Amino acid sequence: MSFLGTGGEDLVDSVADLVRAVPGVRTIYSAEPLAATLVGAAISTATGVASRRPLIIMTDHEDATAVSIRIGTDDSAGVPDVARLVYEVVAEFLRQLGFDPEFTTIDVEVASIG
Amino acid sequence: MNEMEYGPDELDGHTLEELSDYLDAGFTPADPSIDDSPACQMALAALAHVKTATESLLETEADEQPPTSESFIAGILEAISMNVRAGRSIPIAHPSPTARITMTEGAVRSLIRGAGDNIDGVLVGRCTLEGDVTTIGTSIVVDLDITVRWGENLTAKAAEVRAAVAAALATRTDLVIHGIDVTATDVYPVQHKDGEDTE
Repeated sequence: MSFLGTGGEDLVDSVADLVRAVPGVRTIYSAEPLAATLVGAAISTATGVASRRPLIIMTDHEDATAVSIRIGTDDSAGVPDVARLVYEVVAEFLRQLGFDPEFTTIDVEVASIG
Repeated sequence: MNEMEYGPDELDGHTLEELSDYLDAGFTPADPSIDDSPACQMALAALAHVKTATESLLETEADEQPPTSESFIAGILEAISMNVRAGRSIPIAHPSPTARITMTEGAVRSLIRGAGDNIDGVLVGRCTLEGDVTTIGTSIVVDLDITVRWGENLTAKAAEVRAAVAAALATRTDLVIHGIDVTATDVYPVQHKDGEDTE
């Protein structure tokens, strides 16, 4: 199950805001596969209705939650530390919301540097 | 991101020619499929550097561009296309079993390219990471080609590039670097004011 479309937009937005606030994070890239985005863009063009490209992907399957985040960092030192901090900030946020840390997998991918 | 969804010459659905046009147009009209693509963004940064370094050469392309100039630019562009592809996922260590933290091979190659391109008179071409980057702690060798401006000391420029790349990798990644092999594969001509190339 995707959190998007099930009232989870606010949660996803909150996670995105947290990620943006981490020092060293320059941008968030959509974690959605580009092929899906292109289909969405084509539909938007055809219907005239703007599509929303999710930056953070959160999915729920049985008792497990998976979060996917793709970031670009700035050119400062310590890119791995930036990525680790992104994980820790998001993990703590979700823990405080009641997500079980043992069943909450968080993927953080650094897709560009500088 | 599945690179195989697109043709071998495309970056997230865009060719280098399209990206070059987008660069020339000042990124307008905005194209989210380019703006939101790390591969396209890294390619644009590399293209901008190549265009700046070779501006005078490109301006005379329609006139008397020597074949060597065309071939080295083509080689650089081909290398850009290859270097920015996401490639392998390089894991970043974290004690939590639910943390899956990685950086893409393309991000590291672009970091290397940027470090080398910052050396005056150098354009970085092909760049490869030799070794199992998917296993934390495995030592790797960086292998890159450079094109150097005519008249520069090739050995000195290669040493400058090696030092810059080593510093960039040491401060911005956790990679264990066993060696950095820099090969000067070509020279690019200097454009004089009278329009004549020196090679």
